[in-house]
Amino acid sequence: MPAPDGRDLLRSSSDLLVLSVLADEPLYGYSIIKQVGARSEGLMRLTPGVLYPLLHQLEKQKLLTSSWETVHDKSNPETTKGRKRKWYRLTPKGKRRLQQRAAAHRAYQAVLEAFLPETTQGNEGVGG
Amino acid sequence: MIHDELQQKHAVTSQEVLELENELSSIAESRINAWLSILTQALRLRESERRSICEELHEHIEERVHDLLVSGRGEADAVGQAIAELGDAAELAHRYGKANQQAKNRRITMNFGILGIGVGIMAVGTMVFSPQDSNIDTSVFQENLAASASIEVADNQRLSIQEDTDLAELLDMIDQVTEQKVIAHWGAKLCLLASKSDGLIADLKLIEDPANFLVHSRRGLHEHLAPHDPQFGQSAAAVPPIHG
Repeated sequence: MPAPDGRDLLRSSSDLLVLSVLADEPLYGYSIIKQVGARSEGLMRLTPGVLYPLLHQLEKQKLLTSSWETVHDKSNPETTKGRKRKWYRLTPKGKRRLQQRAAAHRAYQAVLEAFLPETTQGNEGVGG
Repeated sequence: MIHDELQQKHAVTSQEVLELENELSSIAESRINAWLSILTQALRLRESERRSICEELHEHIEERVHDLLVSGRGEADAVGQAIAELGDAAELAHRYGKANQQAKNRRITMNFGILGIGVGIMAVGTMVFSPQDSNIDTSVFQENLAASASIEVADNQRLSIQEDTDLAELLDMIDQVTEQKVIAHWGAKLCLLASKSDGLIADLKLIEDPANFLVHSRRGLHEHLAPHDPQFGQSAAAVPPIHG
């Protein structure tokens, strides 16, 4: 089995990221992407191609609930027809799932920790 | 921005620039609609879901384009990038289908588990326990399923489950713990053991620990009369985790 790269790790934990950012406040798809980027200081970038199907799945599992808001184009306020924005929030079941996923993740991290080499000072052990 | 550049370079009138900008916007809108149309056709979901997904993604593209325009990109360029970030429409539709299927599988697994336990309760009452075991109160299955429990995800690692966690949620939770054998304890005697294979819960077992226990799997419900089964017959805490 090939070693997981950063993309695999992000994909496997993307539901945890989404549930986490939604624990603070209701958000819509694009704002979730921005929140994940901001909270990881740009290190994690959730792509829309991964996020939207995941939101669909989490909503189907009743971990999220959604509502629609009509937004009007700021650059063209005369337009009467607004766009529809879908807001997501965690359900009580979603909140419990977040707690469980976080606990499972910490447990996994603790087990993994035992296998990792100790951190070294400077460039020692890095090679080159 | 386009307006100023065009006027400076080609000395065209404001009206001409406005017309050009409108034309560009129209082309950009057509491009978005074409992409959404491919997605709609490729989505194998209910009409209401397809419509909802298209509206949500249309809004995403508009937001993204707006941000890219603010950062100084041209409209055609911004629309191109926003669509490119979403990727191939048919591939995205496939991902939606997969996500939908995963949510469905989970529900089927939950129902399967609940049914299994229901059948298990009946079976426990009617066939499994021999007369010498008849002092076991089978109603404990039902009572304890709604009680608090804990889940063991690895040696000495336990997750507590809140009292109002139902079985469906528990199975949801088990499904999150990949490549692990999971044991949920209800009370001192009874526990549920589940293991995963290929992303789905393969076996769900009700264990009357440490002696007789029922095994429920896709192959059907049957008695497991091996009290000292090397893998499952020992105390719950001693069950080893599944390795990759």
